[in-house]
Amino acid sequence: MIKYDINKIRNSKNINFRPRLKMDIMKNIENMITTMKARVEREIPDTGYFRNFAENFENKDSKIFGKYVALSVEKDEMIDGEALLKISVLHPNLPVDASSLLVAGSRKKILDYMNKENFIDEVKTSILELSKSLRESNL
Amino acid sequence: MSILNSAKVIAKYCTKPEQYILVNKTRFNLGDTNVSLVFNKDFDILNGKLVDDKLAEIGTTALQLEKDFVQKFPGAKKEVKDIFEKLDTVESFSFRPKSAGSMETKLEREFIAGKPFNSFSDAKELVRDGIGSRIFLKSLPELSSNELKKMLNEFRLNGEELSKQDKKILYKYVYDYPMSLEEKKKGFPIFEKFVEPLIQKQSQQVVDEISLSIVKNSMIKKGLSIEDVRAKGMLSDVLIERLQKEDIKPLEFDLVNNYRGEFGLPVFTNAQLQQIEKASGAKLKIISRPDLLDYDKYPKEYIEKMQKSIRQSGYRTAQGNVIHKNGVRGEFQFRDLYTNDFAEYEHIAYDLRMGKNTLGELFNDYKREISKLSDNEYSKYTQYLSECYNYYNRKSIGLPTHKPKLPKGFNKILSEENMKNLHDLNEKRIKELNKNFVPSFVQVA
Repeated sequence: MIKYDINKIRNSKNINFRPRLKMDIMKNIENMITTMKARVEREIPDTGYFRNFAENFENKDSKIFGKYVALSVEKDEMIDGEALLKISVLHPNLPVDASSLLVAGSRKKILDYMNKENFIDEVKTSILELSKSLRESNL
Repeated sequence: MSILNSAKVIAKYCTKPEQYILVNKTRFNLGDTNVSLVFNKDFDILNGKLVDDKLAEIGTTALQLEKDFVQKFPGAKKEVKDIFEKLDTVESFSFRPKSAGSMETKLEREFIAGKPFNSFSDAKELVRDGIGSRIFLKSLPELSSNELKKMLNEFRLNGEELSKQDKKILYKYVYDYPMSLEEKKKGFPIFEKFVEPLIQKQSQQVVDEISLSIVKNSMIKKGLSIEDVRAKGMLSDVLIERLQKEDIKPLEFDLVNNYRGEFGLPVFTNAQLQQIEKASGAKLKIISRPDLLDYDKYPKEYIEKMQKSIRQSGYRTAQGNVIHKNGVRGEFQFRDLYTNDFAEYEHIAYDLRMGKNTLGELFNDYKREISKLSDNEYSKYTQYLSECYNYYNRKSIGLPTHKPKLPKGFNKILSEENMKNLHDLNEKRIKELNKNFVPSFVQVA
């Protein structure tokens, strides 16, 4: 059997170990939005009851004060067939989150909003603002 | 030459009876608000405390901020009254500018945490809310057994009748009968939906006024027209009609906290929060507990692990951060008077446990008993306090309820009744001390 001494390999000048790159947060946001668009299309009916739903990713970016980021859809409790699309950031240590509304309306209105050119940037800006609110909340 | 380098006199300034802060008397007397403080952990901390020199600069700024808030206080108070006083679901108000003592504590904490302030306005930004306003909601009359029966018979969850088992649990919730933890967890979302009409009856007028004032502010600041408000779905048709007919006062809201404990009802329902969110748009941030939602926003197992770290006493209030017309930041709190009375002394246990010891000798026996509790016992005790919150909350919305008993094995000193008694005695004592008290410098160091 061949035995490898990992330290010898690490110290070898010929082999460079690259630190694992953190997944780019924009990539995470893009993935979350793509999945959410499909769910909005599929799960918000024209009328009647539907279950609220969300998509999230774990945050590894130290600039953001938060453990998870989520996009969620909540049924509008006052208008049938309408929903609220919200963005939220979960506190790093507590079961408390900060959220803000992105758009409210019918399935079509929400999808049109999500298809806007600058939607990803808007989500990113909201995440940074929510992270700031959580940090300043002194919880 | 900077004022910091001129002949500096550090003095004690008595802000309240038995409470003082350190102040740079020279800067204070000159009325100089310029300050630039940078934290250096190698020089600024001595024996675990911030050095007097820096503390005095922080104290001076806190005192100057207090002066500024006191000046702006009447305007802010009038603004709140103009919006909410006309409502018949509002019982009363209480107002207070933030005290120099509490600002000094906050600025010191932020300073040590690496947030130095380079100007008076920086310090103001760190303090955030300068004026606190409490808006007390009227309690609802106790529901008769016929009214409860009618509500139970007519209740539908998402348009459907409840199963026999769910009906049984809801019945237990409504009449405050003992339940297993499993029943409690299963039945709470149903119970919450059941009581929504009661919560709305108590707070809907307030939520409507908040929504109208927020929209009015957006119309003024962003130049929105009534047509824009309608097209964006910011308000219901009924409220748009009011917006057109009435003289609505504008108000800028930027944060809402809807605090509640486990199995505790919120001050604002989810539908009401949605109403405020739609009126505000993306600018408003809502702080709430995702573990109490009816869906999983984040991984369930992760949230369950985190639940253990939250303050478990069941603290219940709806809070909003506002910017008053005169520029001062304020904090609104909405709650009923029963809950407010309990909240006045409920935090004592938590503060003592967290090492904050600002209570007088009156509380010595209580302090001793709290410090003796193991973590498990303390958790059981906070569970009891949380049940007390739920008891007062149920009373305020007219539901049948039974006062929780202190769990067996705990010293009677820890009972809610005794906490109230100690609090009342302490208030009386403070009132006495305040009779002839005038804030002033007491001693030159």
